[in-house]
Amino acid sequence: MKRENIIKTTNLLYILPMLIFFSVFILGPIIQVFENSFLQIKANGDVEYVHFDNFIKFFNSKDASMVLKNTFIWVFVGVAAKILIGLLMALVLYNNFIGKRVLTGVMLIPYAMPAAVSCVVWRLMYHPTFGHITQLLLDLNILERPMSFLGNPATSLLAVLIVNVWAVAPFCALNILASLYSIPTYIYEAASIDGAGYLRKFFHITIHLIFTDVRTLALLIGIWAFNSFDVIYMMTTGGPANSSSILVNLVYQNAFEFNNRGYSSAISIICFIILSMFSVLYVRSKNKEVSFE
Amino acid sequence: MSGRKIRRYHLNRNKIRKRAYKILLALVVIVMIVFLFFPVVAMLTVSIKPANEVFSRPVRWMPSEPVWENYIEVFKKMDILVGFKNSIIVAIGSIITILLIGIPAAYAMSKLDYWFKGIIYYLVLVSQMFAPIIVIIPLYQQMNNWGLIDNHISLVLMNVTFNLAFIVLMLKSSFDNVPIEVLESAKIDGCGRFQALIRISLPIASMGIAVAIIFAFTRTWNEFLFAFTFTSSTSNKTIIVKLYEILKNNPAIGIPWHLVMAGATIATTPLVILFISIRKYITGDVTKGAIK
Repeated sequence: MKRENIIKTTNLLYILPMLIFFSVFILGPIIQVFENSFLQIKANGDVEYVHFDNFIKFFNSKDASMVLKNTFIWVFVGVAAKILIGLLMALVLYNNFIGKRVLTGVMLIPYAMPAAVSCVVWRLMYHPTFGHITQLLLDLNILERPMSFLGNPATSLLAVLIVNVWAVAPFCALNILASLYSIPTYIYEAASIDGAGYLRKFFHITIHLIFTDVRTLALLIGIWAFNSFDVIYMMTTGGPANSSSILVNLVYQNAFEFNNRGYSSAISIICFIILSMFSVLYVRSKNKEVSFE
Repeated sequence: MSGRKIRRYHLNRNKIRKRAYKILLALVVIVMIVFLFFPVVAMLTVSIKPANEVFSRPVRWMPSEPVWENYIEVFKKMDILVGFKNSIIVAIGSIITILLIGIPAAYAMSKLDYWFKGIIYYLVLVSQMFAPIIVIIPLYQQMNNWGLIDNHISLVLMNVTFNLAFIVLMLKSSFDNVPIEVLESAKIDGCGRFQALIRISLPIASMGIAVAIIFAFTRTWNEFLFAFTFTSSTSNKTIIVKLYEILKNNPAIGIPWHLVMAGATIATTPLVILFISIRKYITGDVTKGAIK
């Protein structure tokens, strides 16, 4: 063997522990979930091979259409709201004003707060009798009498989504702000000399130049949203009647509450396929990022 | 209009425009502050309310007088201290393991040549896309077979696995800043590959490593899924799980909200301090490889 090849092999030792962790705790389990998704696992441990029954059962169930719709809203409406609010906040922070540095520092608090803490706080704020939001809406005459936002199937998903948007939007804002600062100012100066106003500069320069960065960001937070089991679970446990469940909540519910491990694995596989598609887009988008330096 | 008048007209228009823009900006900033900090203020004010004012209607926005004793009572009544201790044990165990495994891996990915280099890079990149919840059943069985359920070791193992990729990518980009010339001259001076890592690269990348430690701490501190599913006895639960279980185990009407909020404030404080201290790096060079 050539000396180079020996070095290439011994260098693998640096990576080896990480690869062991990944194969034991990610790759192995994924293969096992694939296996499980074709099985029916009974409570006493008996298994039966049932082909695609678990998948067919899921797509025929009454939960499926609602949960898929919820997942779609949760991911796409959520990402759109986070990016738009983040963009607005970034544009504000791009200006100079008193207290700007302090604000950019402390605005990460919602993002830095543990999910459990923000869920606890928002659950109090949504509380039908003692909640701040309920009281505010009553005072403003928007609501006639107190209502339970989390306990009502019509509002539960939206109420949880607001919490998620609140937590992630500041993160988006700081990322978009970094992209805004990466645009060289001479481009704006040149545009001003040519007579372009604020709006023209925004739509013809800013949007174009931050587009690739924002797209990567949108894919990343989309993937996070798709995976965010804990916020929904802690706010509503997916209820009432699955009205705020997304796919990952169904995985957990079937695995640990209904003890339907084969069925749960089948839903995991559906998640896995969707995530794989997102991941391909993310990696491709990341490779296309440009820099102006 | 004479030339002078026209000029004054334009000046005024520009002034008015600028002033309108400033007022609009101020309004948006105020809306932003209310949106972001209303819940934080709600948490802090409720945490110092006397018990009877928490349950009064209509909702009192401010406590009539601050009751700091809530912070003492939460320690007595809800063994927050045990949760705090467990969270710290899990976080420190995870951070040490992540660094022991992650530093060599990140260093190799940045500076050394090995087989399947491209494939391994994409494997790391993609592995953080898959949420642990997808594989929770086999992981639970695995931990059960090893007798690690209701044990801090299983939480450490899980936290290491699902934070490793993120931290390795972050460390890789700080090793990327170590100039290759320095390493080459060290090699000429008879410094081995491993020695070059310990003696030269680590000190240069130390700032990046510090940021990585804070990120790892935050993520393990906040971790809910495994801490909730893998622990069953109260003496082993992390502070996050304890906080959630106060809500879960009490009937809706009997939740002592003022104590819960005091606990929530205690659980948040270390994170907020750490996060604000590294805010410069959150979108900067150090995290570039990992976050975006």
